[in-house]
Amino acid sequence: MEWLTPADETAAAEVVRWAAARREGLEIRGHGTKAAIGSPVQAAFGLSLAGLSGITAYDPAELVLTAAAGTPLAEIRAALSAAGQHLPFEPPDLSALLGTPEEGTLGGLVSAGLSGARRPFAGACRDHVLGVRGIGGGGEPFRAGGQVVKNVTGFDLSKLLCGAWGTLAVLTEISLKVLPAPETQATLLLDGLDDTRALSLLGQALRSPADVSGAAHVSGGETALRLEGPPESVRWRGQGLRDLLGLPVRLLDDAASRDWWQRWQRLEPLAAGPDFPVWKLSLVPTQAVAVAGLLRQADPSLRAVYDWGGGLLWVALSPTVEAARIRQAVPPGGGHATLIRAPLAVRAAGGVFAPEAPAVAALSRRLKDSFDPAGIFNPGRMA
Amino acid sequence: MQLPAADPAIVSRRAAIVGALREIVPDGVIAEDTALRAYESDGLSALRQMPLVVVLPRTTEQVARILSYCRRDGVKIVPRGAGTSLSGGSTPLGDAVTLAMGRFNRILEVDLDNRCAVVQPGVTNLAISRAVESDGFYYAPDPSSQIACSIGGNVAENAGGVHCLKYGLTANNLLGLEMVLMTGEVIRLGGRHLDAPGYDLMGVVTGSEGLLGVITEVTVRLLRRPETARAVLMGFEDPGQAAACVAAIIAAGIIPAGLEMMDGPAIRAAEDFVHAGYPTEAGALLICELDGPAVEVDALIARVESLARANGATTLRTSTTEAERLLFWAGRKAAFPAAGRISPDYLCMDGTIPRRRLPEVLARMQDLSRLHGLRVANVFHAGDGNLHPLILFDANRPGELERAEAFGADILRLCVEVGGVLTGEHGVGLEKRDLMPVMFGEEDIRQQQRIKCAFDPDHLLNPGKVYPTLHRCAELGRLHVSGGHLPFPDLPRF
Repeated sequence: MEWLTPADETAAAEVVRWAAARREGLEIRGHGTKAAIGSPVQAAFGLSLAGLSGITAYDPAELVLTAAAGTPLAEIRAALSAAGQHLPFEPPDLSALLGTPEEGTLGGLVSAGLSGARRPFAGACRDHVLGVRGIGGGGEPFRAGGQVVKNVTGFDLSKLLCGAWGTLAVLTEISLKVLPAPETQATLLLDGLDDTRALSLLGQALRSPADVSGAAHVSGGETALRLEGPPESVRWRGQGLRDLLGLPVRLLDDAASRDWWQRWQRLEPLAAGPDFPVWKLSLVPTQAVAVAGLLRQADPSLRAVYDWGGGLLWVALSPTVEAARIRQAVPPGGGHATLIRAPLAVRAAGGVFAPEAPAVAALSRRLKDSFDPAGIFNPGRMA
Repeated sequence: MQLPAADPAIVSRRAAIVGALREIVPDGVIAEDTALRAYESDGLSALRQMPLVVVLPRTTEQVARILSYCRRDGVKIVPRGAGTSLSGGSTPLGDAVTLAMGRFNRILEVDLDNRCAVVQPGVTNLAISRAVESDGFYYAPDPSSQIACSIGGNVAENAGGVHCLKYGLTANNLLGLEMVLMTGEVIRLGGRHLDAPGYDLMGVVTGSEGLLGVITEVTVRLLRRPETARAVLMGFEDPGQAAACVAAIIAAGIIPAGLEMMDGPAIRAAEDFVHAGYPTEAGALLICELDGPAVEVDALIARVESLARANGATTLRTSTTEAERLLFWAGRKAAFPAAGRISPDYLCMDGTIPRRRLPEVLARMQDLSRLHGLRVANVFHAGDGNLHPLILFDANRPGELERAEAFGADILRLCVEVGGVLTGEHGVGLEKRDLMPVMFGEEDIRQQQRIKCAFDPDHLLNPGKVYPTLHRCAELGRLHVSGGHLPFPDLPRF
C-alpha cells in the first residue's frame, strides 16, 4: 500500500482525478483508527486526509464549528471544552476496543457516523453535520449543506456522506452543530438487576418526565441513568427518579458521573474481556433483552452491554458464532447488527454490515455508481 | 416566477391517463375542472395551475401501481400532502398527475413503550400530538400550519417550527419511513430502532421535496411533554440590543424551547390584531420560552431576565400562568394574518443567517425596502437565525407582485452573502428554485443531482421544483477526467 498525503484540498482532488482516470482504487483514511471496522479495502493506493487539519471557523455563539476533515477529534473536543460546549451526540471512543493509540479524526468520525450514549435524546452524528466540503468521484471539489444551524436548501447530501464509510466522496471539511455542555450531571446507579428487570426500569425512566440523557445496563453489572442540566433541576429530577424506581440507588455526583460515562464511552465493560468479536446491534428497545437471550444461547459466555435504554446492544461473543446466527436473533424489521471488531479473516469473509432488502440494496448500489462511477473510493469497505 | 410549460404530447393523452388511473383507483380520480380547482395551488397561492388530473390512492399498493404506470408511460407526478407548502413544493403542473395523499389518514399504532408512533402520511402534524397527549407525550416539530399540514408533507419538506433550536427539525424526529420508488418498488427505511446499516437514505429522503419518492408510512419519535413551560417577553429599543441578548442567552449555556424575535412593524401589526400586550413603541421584541421541571424553568427564567436587563430591555414581563404564556405567543403566532390585515398581500420569506450578522442584515433590508418601495415586517426564529421577512404588497397594483418577488430574492441573496442559506424550513420548491445558483456552484448542484439520478433518473417526480435545470443522468454518469499522472513531486508519500 502506497500512501499519498496531500496538504490541501486541491492536491487531494488531484489525487482523486488521477485515480479516477486510471480507475485505481483508493483507501481513504484520516488517522486510520477505524480501519479495522468494516470489510478490508481492496486498493493499492491510499489517500490520507491527515494533512488537511485544523479548525477553520468556530464561533461558540453561533453553535457552529468548521474544521478540516483530518483534524484530530481530540483537538475539537479541547476547543469545544474551552468554550463550555460539546458534541451533543457524544461520539464513542473506540480506541480501547480497537487497540488504537487515539480516537482519530473528525472526518473518520463522520464517515463512520458514530454516536454515543446521548444519541436517542440529542440526535445522531448525522443530525449534527450541517455541511461539508468534499471531492467527488471524478476529482471535482464540491460543497454541500451550509454553516448555519437551520437549513433545508436542496438535498441533504451531508447526511448521505455521514456514515458512508468514505465510499461516496472524500470529505475535506465538515461543519458541525455544537451545543453548550450541560452545566452539571449526576448518575443514579443500581446494582444486581437482571437484564429484564433493568431494561424495564430504564424504559420506565425514559417514559417519565425526568429527561434522562443516558440509560445503560451492563449485563450482570451496573444499571445507570444519567441526568444533566442546571444543578437545581438535576437534583429535583434525581429525586423524582428515585421515587419512581423505588429501589436502593447509588448517586454519582458531577465528577463521578462524568468519569462513569467516559469509561462507558470507551466501552470498557466490553474492551476489558477476552479479544472476542464485538457486535453492535441497533434494536427496538423492548426487544433487546430477547435478542441478547438468543445470543446467549449461541454462546453462554456472552458479554452484553445495553445502551439507549435497550435501543443499542453491544455484545462480545465467541468467534465460533456465525454472523448469520447473530442476525437471525434480530426480529425482521426490528434493527440490524454490525460487526465492529473481528480478525481480518472474519471481516474479509463479508457480513460486517447487515444485508439490506433487495430494493434498498439496489438503490444503494445506484447511489454508489452515481457518486463514484469509477468505483475508486474505498472499494470493498461496505461489501 | 414562471411555471414550467406543459408538454402538449402529455396533455393530448389526458383521457388515456385518466382512464389508466381509474383502473388503479376506481373511486379516487378527479378530472372535472370544478373539482380540480381545489388543487390549483398550495400555500404559495400566488402560483396557480390546474393539474392534469388528481388521483387519491388509499393503499401503498395503489401508489406503487400509479408510479409504475407513470414511469412506463413517461407521465410526471406531483406528490401532495395537505397542500400547505409555502414554497410551491406541491404546485401542480399542467402535464403532471397530482398524487394527493389525503386518504392516508390513519394513525396505525402508538407504541409508548418504545416512544414512537406509526402513522400514515396524510395524518396532520397536530393529530399525532393530540393522539398521545393524554399519556403525557407529544410530537415535537410544530410548523405554524400544524393544524392542517400532513406528516408526509413535513417529511418531504423537513418542516421545522418554533421549537427547532431545542428539539430539531422533522429529520431529527423521524425513526422510519415506508416509501414507493419510481420503480414501483416499496422500501422501508429505519423502523422503531435507530440508524441505518448502510447509507442514510432516510436522511436524504427527508427534505427532498417530493423529488425522490412517495412516502406511504412514517414512524415518528414521541417525546414526554415537559412538566411546565413559561415565557419571557422582552422589549428593546433596537434590534441590535435584542440580537445581543439572544447571543448572551446562548452564551450562558441556555437553549430555550423557543426564542423568537419581531421587529417594530411586526410588533405593531400583531398587537393591533390580537392585543397581546406587546410594547408598541419597541424596536424589537423577544419571546423566550423555557420548558422542563418547574424548578429548572424558574432558575433559567431568572437568568434570562437578568440578561435582558443587562442588554437594555425596556420591557420585561414573565408569564405566571398558562393563559399569559399563550397570550405572549398569540401575537407571534398571528404575525402572518396580522400582516394580512395591514396589507392586501404579503410574501413570507425564509432565509437563515449567522445570528451575529442580524443587525447588519436588518439595516440592509431597510435599504432594500426603500429601493423596492415596499414595506417589510420581520419575524424570526432568533435562536437559530431563521428569518421570516414579510414583504407587504398589493397584487392588484400592476407590477407590485414582481417587485415583491424581486425584493424577496434580494433578501435571500443577502442571507447567502453574509454566510447563510436560502431556506431554513420552508423549502426551495418553485419559489426559490432560480436562486439555487446563488448559494451553490455548478459542481455543488451536480453532486446533489447524483442523488436524483439514483432515485428517479427520468426526472418524473415533481419536475421543475428545487433545481433550475436537471442534468441528464447519462451526462452526470460520464467521467470527465483528464490527465493521468500524479503530481508526485508535491505530495508527501510514505
